[in-house]
Amino acid sequence: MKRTGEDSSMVFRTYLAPVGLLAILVSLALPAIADCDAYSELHGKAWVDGDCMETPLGDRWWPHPRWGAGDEAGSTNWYTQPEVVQRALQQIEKGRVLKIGHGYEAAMPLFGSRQFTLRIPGAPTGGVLGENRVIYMDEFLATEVGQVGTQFDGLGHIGVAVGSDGDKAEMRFYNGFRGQEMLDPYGLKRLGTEKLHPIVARGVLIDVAAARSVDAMEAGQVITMADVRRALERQGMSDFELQPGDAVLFRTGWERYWITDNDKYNDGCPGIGMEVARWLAENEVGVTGADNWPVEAVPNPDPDCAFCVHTFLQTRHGIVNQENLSLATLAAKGVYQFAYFYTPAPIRGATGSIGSPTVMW
Amino acid sequence: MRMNRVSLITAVLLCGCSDVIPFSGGVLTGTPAAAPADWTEAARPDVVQLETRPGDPYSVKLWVIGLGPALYVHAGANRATWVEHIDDNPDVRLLIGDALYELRAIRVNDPQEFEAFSNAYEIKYGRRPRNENVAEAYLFRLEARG
Repeated sequence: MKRTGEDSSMVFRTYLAPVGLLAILVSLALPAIADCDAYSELHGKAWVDGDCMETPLGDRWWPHPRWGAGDEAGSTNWYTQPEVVQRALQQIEKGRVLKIGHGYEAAMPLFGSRQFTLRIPGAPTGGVLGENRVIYMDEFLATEVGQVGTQFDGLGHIGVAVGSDGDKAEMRFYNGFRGQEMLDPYGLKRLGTEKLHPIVARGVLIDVAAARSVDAMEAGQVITMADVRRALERQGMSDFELQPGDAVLFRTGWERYWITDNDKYNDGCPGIGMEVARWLAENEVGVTGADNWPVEAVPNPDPDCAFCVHTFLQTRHGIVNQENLSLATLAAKGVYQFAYFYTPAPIRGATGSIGSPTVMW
Repeated sequence: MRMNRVSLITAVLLCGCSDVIPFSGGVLTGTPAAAPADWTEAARPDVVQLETRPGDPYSVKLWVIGLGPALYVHAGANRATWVEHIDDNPDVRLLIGDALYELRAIRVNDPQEFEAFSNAYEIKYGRRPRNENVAEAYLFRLEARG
């Protein structure tokens, strides 16, 4: 029997097209399966994507799907969009303003061997000048200026060594930037904080300590989505819907050890884990923050996870992070939604920024 | 490994349908119940559901305090969507277990009443509500409709 053109088309649609589609899908899946096998010991870990870890940080993470190849501003790009800024400004009803950062001083807890040393040379530094006898003061500050006190992680702060130790070609950062093209003793050549946009975000405070009815959570305790739900119910916000660009701040109560017990403050802390991190990334938040030094729980319950929330939110998704916040006053006022303002200091090549995050409502 | 992937995809799809954030429902259903003379026992559950905007029902989950004849819900200093609805129309419905109460919300501005509410809140939830100023807190007393 001779087939007509219509018959042939039907055979293709019925039999050959599905087979071809299946073949394409299988061919696409095979390399991923092969890559997975190289890291099979990691399958099932919360910080691994699905049941597959293609590498510690593979090229599926760049270019960034929203901000594109070469982008160095990450989630701060949201604040170039008028609707995101206007959503933030709509939170201001009462004209109230509050700083939510700590003051900077030598007595504050410092991570590792970081230092904070301020001097006023000469005291006064200069003068007397003129018949009006003016004098003036300057300060000299020696510190890791982007990584002490209330501080902000830029996108050049955290990377992943994909290759062997010391191989800068395979040190990868946000959007696939390589260590060899950005690392320089006089400042990062890529992803410096000067590349970031000023942040004007709708902010939300999730008071987990209050929802757990504790003054402070314990070191290593992980904030779960059940905690988030309970906190939002307590705050009368079970209907709250995250929007792209929102700033999400978690209160754990850990700031009660700020200066009062620096050893305890630095020796671990409660915070978010991968479950909450995935929720934040799926909703494309603009900023994460907390009243502790890394935002995420330390130590992580998984000893193989060293700051894996950092590498997930910052390195993979380009979401910036605000640490060592002071949230007790905001929580005491029962203010859970607000406008959040912060401009990272545009220090060329810096990894992070000190500054004064401010909220208005 | 393929089975693992199938399981994962199934789990993700199922999780996507569960009670996740945000929780905002529509009309509440339950057995109509009369407001008790004393709410202490009826309001013992930690979380209840409140329905606002009778013309287009909208519901949220909230913490609740029953204090003798008074029943309270609270939103901190947050002008939440349900607070805006109450401003427009104070008629609400409250679901506790299967019991559905038709109530009216009245904003509380009296510091002494706020203090009594705070004390009961501390006993029930272990911490006082975090508001320094009753004038800036959205505390509502729910009463039987007229």
